[in-house]
Parts: sequence; structure tokens; C-alpha cells
Amino acid sequence: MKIAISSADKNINSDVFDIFGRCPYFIILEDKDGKLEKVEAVKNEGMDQNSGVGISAAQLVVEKGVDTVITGNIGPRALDVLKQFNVEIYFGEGVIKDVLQAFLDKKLKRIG
Amino acid sequence: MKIAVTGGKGGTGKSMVATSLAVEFAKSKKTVLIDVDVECPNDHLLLSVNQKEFVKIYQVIPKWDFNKCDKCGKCASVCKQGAIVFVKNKYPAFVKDICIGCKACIVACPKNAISESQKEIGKIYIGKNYNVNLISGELKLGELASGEVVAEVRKQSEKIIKKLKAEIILIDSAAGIGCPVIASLVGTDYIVAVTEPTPSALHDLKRVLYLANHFQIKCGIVINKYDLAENFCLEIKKFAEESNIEIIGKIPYKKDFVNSTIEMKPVVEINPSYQKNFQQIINKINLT
Repeated sequence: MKIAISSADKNINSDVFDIFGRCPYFIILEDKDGKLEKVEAVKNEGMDQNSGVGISAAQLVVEKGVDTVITGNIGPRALDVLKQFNVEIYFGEGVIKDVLQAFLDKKLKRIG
Repeated sequence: MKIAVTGGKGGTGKSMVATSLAVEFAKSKKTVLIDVDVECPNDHLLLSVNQKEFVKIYQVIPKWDFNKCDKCGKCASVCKQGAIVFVKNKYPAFVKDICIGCKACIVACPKNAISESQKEIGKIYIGKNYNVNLISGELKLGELASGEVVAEVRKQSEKIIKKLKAEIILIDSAAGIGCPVIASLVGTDYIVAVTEPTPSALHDLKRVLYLANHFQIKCGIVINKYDLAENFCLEIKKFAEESNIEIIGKIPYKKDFVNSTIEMKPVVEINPSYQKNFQQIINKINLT
């Protein structure tokens, strides 16, 4: 499993950024023996586009090989694209570290 | 004769003039009114028309056969709308609502994996009241292609016009000067530009008359609510004279017009004394 979480900053002590397409970073994590390990923080280059940010962000995370996304609000187009790439989307808010624990505890609500 | 009613600025009274002219024209000639303000069509409300669905409007969209697709990504690279998302080694994803139906992806696909499908982008309604045959176009919510819907409404209307042997075709356009307005003006014989005595209305009138001039369509100006600012009417008159465009009518601002909208009846029914205002406009149009 590979997870992308929309983030306000580069580390897991930051908050989940509440808009999928306009987050400054995506933190990418990988599942290693039941633990989530940070792989990288990817800058969301498309965050300042006038339109189509959701689609660009969806493309970005799929290119990173992600199969699960955790975010706040996500637009209908980004949601549509992620679903077509068989990505699962979950709602998360607050500090990323805590949200990841909640995800492992299967406490996050699925979107879409 | 095809007459477009437009004006540039919103709220100047385009639909009021279009419906009133339709009611007056219909007294002596077979008249069709086409409401191509497809984002917010209202003429059926102004004339209390009980409309029924005539046809749906569709637009072409691509459909992939993933058995044939070899994930080359050419479809996405030719899509100017960004409606196709391609990620290496994956089948393309398609964002339906952005697609404008250009079919470039279908042409570009080396494997013939993309065929034509369609999505609904609007509806056409028809109805009749006050002897006016109303054809009304409506853009589906969330769709972008208002110009295409206007063009399709006009195309479909041709069949009805022929069948009815209609002599007068009034086309009520949206506000603005963009794609849906251009699609409303093309191929008409006369443009009625409805304005009001305000600087913003005059500004927008100039822009829409620039369009009329570009298409070389004859036009006339109707000043609605003229008595709200008679001094400013002189500015419009000055512009009209300089541009060699006739002011073909002036309509006062009276409570009857508000009541007309509330009661969903044409103003000439609420108060027949306005008939002369619209008959005067009709006479001027007929003279050209």
C-alpha cells in the first residue's frame, strides 16, 4: 500500500491540508510490516493553477504509484479521476501523525 | 424574418421586449419566439407557457475500449481541454464534464480504441401561449457548452419553423457578447439592441453593436426605462447618431412592467396602452 496525504508542510507533524488540489505538499508513505513509513514529501506544483488543480494533483499522486489518498475536501473531478485509477480516498483532519494512526485503526471515513 | 433581441448588459429588458414583440407580431403573423438564454431561460415564465420537452441535446464524448488500448497516451496529449488524464502504464482516465466533443482523441488513437459516445448537455422545450410558439433551450446544470446548446436549439428550431410556416422568428439572446450570444446573432436579419439609460448599459451596448457590425446585420436600439434618466438618453442618442444606428423605440419604466413579471402576463395584456410602443418598434423593423 502507498498513501498520499495532502499536507500543509513537509513533515508528519503538520496538519492535513483541507483542500486536495491546493495543498502545498503531498506526503507519500509506504506500508512496511504494518507501519507507515514516510517515503517523501512531494511539492504540489499545480497548487496555484487557476483551474484544474484537482485533476493535476490526482495525476501527480497516481504517477507516484499511490493507491490510497487521505485528504480534507476533494472536488468532484479529482475524485472521479482517482476512482478511475482505483485509488481509495479517505477523509482526514488534524495533525497528520494522528490521522495516520486513525487510518491504521480503520477509523477514517471513506469518501466517494 | 429572423430578429435577434440582445443588448449586452443584463437586466435591460431583453426578454420583456422579446416577449412583448412576439405577442404583438403574433396578432398578424405566424410567430415563433426562441429563447436561447440557455443558462437562465425565462420567456416561458413571462408568457405563462406550459412547456413540454421536445428533444434532448447531446454532445459527442469519447469511449475507450481498454481491450484495444495499449496505454500509449496519445489521446491525452492531443486533448486541449485536459479532459484526459494519462499516467504511464495505466489506462487513461476521462473527465466527462470538461470534454467539448472535438474528437481529437478519436482521430489520434493509433489502435482505434476510442469510439463515439454521447452525453446530454441540454434540453429543448416547446409550448404556445398568446398565439406565440415558444421554443426554449436549456443548458444542463454543470455543463459548459452554452454556445453549442444555442446553435443546436436554432438548428432544431428550423424544423418547427418550416412546419409552422412561421413568418417571424424572434430570438431572445442571453446577456453578454460571448459564444452563446454570437450563436444567437449569426444568420439573423435584424438585431434589436435593448438598453437602458445607464453608463454600464451604454458601455455594453457599444460592445454588442460592435458584434452586430462585424456580422453586418442591421440593427436598432430600444431604450427601456428611458424616463429614469432622460439626460443620459442624450448620450445614447449621440452614440446612435455617430454610429448611424436608429433608436427604434423608447419604453417608460412603470409598475405595469413589474406586475407583468409577477403575474406572468405580457405587459401589453396588463395595460394595452403599451401596444403602441411595440407596434412602433415593429413598424421601424418592417421599414428596414
